[in-house]
Amino acid sequence: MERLIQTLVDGVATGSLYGALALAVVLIFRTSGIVNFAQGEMAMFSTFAAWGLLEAGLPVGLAILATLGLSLLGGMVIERVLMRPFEGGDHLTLAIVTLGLFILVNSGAGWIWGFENRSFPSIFPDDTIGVGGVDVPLESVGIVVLLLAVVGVLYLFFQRTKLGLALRAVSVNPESSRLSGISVGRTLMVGWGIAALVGALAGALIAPRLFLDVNFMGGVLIYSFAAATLGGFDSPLGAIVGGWIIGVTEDLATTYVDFIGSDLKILVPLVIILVVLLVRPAGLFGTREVTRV
Amino acid sequence: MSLLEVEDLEAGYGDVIVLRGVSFAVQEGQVAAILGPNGSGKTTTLRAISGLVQTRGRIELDGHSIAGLSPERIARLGIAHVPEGRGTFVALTVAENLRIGAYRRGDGQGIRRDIERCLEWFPRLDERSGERAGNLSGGEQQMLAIARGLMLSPRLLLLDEPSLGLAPVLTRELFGVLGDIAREEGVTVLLVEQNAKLALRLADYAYVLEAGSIVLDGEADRIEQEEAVQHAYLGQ
Amino acid sequence: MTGDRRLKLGGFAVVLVIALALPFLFGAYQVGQFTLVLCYAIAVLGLNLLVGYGGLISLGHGAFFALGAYTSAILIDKADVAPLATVPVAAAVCFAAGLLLGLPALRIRGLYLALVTLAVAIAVPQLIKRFDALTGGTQGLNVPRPTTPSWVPLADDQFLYFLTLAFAIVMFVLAANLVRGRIGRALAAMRESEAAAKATGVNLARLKTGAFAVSALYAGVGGSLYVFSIGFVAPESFTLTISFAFLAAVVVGGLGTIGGAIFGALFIEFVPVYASDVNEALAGVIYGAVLIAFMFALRDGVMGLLRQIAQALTTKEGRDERETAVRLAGGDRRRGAAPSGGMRA
Repeated sequence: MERLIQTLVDGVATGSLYGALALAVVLIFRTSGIVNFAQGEMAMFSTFAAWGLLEAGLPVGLAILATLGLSLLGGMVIERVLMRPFEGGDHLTLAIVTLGLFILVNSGAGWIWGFENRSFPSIFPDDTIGVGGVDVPLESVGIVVLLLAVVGVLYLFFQRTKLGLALRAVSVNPESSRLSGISVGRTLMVGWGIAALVGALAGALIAPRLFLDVNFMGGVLIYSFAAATLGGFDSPLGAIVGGWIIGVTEDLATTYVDFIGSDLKILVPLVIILVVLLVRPAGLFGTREVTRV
Repeated sequence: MSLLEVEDLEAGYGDVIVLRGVSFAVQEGQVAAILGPNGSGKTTTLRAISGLVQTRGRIELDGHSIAGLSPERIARLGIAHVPEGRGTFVALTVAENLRIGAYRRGDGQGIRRDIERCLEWFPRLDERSGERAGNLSGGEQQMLAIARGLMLSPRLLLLDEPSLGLAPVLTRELFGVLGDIAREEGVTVLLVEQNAKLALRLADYAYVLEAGSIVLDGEADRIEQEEAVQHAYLGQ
Repeated sequence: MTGDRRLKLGGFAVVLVIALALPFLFGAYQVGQFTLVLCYAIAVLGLNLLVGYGGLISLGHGAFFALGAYTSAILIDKADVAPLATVPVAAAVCFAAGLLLGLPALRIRGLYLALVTLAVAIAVPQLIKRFDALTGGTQGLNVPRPTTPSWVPLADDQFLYFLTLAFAIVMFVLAANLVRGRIGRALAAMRESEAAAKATGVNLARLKTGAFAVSALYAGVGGSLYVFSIGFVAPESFTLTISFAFLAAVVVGGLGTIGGAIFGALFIEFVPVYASDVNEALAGVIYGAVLIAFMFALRDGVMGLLRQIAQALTTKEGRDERETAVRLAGGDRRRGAAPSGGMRA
C-alpha cells in the first residue's frame, strides 16, 4: 500500500513535468497553429543557461528566475526571426523548420557547453513530507503545487488580461484580429515567449532528476507529445491532465509490470499516442482534430 | 475634402485582376452603398480599403494615403471593416468579441459606455453577452460583428453584405437599426450589398459596380429610379 | 523528347560516368565512403518519395534503415545466409513493416504521423538493446564483408562499390518510373490536397500505406548494403540522428526530386567527417542551419539550383517558355507560401 501511494505521488509529479512541457507545446499550437518540435531543446538550452548562471555564483532561485526572463525574450526572438518569415507556409515546411531548430539548438548547446553530463540542483530541499500517512519526497509535492500555480497564473492571464484576450483572439481568427487593430505578429511573439518560459521552468524542474546533458529533454519531448495528444492539442488543461495520466501509467507499469523495464519504458507514450489517435483523435479535452503537421 | 477618396484602384488575387481602376469618394457622415452582381468586385473593394489585398492606385483617408498599410494599421487609423461572413471570434464570448473590437482604445470608461450603447442598439446581444459567440444565430452574429466594428469608434465603417444569409424579417430589422445608428452616431458608412432595395433606402449615395468597374453613380433616390437599376437589381 | 527530359538524361549520364570512374581514381578508404554514399542515397530516395512527393512527414526513416541492416546482419551471422541473398529479404521485411506503420497512418493525420514516427525512431535503439539475444545488444554484431570473387579483377573495396552501385542504379530507375507514372501524379495530388485527390478517385488509403511500404523498402535495401560496407551493426548507429540526417539529405538534395538523393547523401556522409575535425557539435549545427536556410531560400534544394543553372544556360526561347509557365502557375512559391497567398486561415 505504501508502495502504491509512493508510486502514485511520483507518477503525478513526473506527470506534472511532462505536462509542463506539454503545456508549452499546446500554447504554441494554440497561438501559431503549429507543433514546435524544438520545444524540448529550447527548454534544454534554457536549463543550460541556468546552469551557467549557477556556475557564475548565483543562488538557485535567482538563476532560475533570470533564466525564465531570458527564455521569455528568447522565445520572442525565435518567433520574430525564425518563424515569422515562414508565416502562412505549408505544414511540411513549418515542420522541417522546427526540426531544423531542434537540431540547431541541440548542437548549439553541445558546442557551447559540451556533451558531458552534469548535475543540476533542485530548488526544493531534500526532505520528505507525509501524504496519506506515507513519506514522500518534498520535491514531488513541490513540483505538483508549482505546476498548479503556473496553470493558475496562466489562466488568469488568458482570461483576465487584455494581452491574454488578444492571444486568444489571434488563435481563433487572425484576420478579424487584424481588422480590430491587433498586431498579430507581435502577439504571436508573446505567445512564443510565454511558451519558452514555461518550457524553461519544466527544464529546471526536470534536470535535477535526470542528468543535465544535451539530450536530456529528448525523451521527455515524446512523453509531452503523448500528453498533449491524450489531452487534446489545443487544450492546456488537457496537457496537464494528460501528463498526469501518462506519468502515473508509466510509473505503475514500470513498477508492477516486469516486462517493461527501463529500456522499454519509451513504448508507453508511443502506445498511448497510437491508441488515442485510433480511438479519439481529438483527445480528452481537445475541440478539433489536428489535421495539420 | 472627402473622408475617403479612392482613385484608379486596381486590386486582385494573384494573377486575377478584380478591380480595374475604380474611383469614388465617401463624404463624412454619409452612407454610401456599392451595388452590383456577384463577382463584380464589391467585397474586393472593401478588402482593398482595409488593407487585406494588394492594390495599385490611390486610397486616402482624410487626405492621408493608406494604400499599402497593414490591416492593423488601417484599423488603428479608424476604419472598421465588418467582413463578409462576419468574422466572429466563435470561441470567445459575446462580451469578449466586443472588447476585442475596442482593443486599440485606452479609454476604459469610454469602452464601457460604448458596450452599453451597443447592447442597447442590439438587445439580443445583451441577453447573450456571456455566451460563446459561436452559439449565436446568423443574424445575431451579424449584429455582433457590426457592434464589434462600432466598438472601434471608427471614422469609417465598412459593411460587407450584412444581409447575406439572413431571413428577410431580420434583415429589415437590421437595416432599420443601421439607419438609426448612422443617423444618431454620425458614423460614415460604406456599404456593400446585394439587396439593392434595402441598401438604396439606407444610403445617401450609391455606386453600381459591374465586372470591376463603376458603371453608374449618384444620389440613392435617383439611382433607385434608374430603369437599368430597376431592371437588374430591383426585380422590375 | 522535351528539352527538360533531355537535360535530365544528360545529367544522369554525366553522373553515371563519374560514378563508374570513381573507384579507379581514389584509394580504398574514399571508395568505402562513396559506397556508403550510395547506401544512404537509396535510403534518402525512399524518404523523398514519402516526404517530397507524398508530402507525408516521417521522422523514423532510420528505423527502417536499422531494420534492413539488422535483418541482413542477423541472417548472415546467425543463419549463414549468403550476403546478397539477404538484400531481398531485408527489402521484404521492411516493406511489410512499412505497410504495418502505414496502416495507422490512414487514421492519423500529418502531425501525428510525425509524432508516431518520431517515437518509433527514439524507441528503435532501445528495442535493439532489449532483444540482445538476437541483435547482439549493445555490443552489436560483426558481419563479414563480401569479398571479390576470384574471377573478377577488382579490389575488395572496388567490387563492393560496384555491387552497391548496381543496386543503386536499379532502385533509382524504379523510382524514376514510379514517379513519372500514375502513382507519381497521385502522390502529387495527395500532397496538394487530400480532399481534392480523393475527389478525383485516388485511393488515399492504398496510396499512403503503399508510400510507406515502398519508402521503407528503400531504406531496408540501403541498410542492408550498409552492413556489407561497414561490417558491423550496433544500436548507436541507428539513433534519432540518422533519421534527422536522412531528412536533411532530402531537403538538401531537393524535396520531390530523384537526383537530389545523391547530393543529399554526399552531404550527410562528408559534412560530419569534416565538421567533426573542427568541433563535435558542428555537424549538427550545420544540419540544423541548412534545414532552415534551405526552407527559406532553396526550397528545391541542390537539384532546384542545378535546374535553374541549366535553364539559364539553354536557349533563350526555352527560357521564355519556362518563365511564362512559372508565372501562370502562380507566382510566389518561395518559403513554402500557400498557393492562395496572404493570410493563413
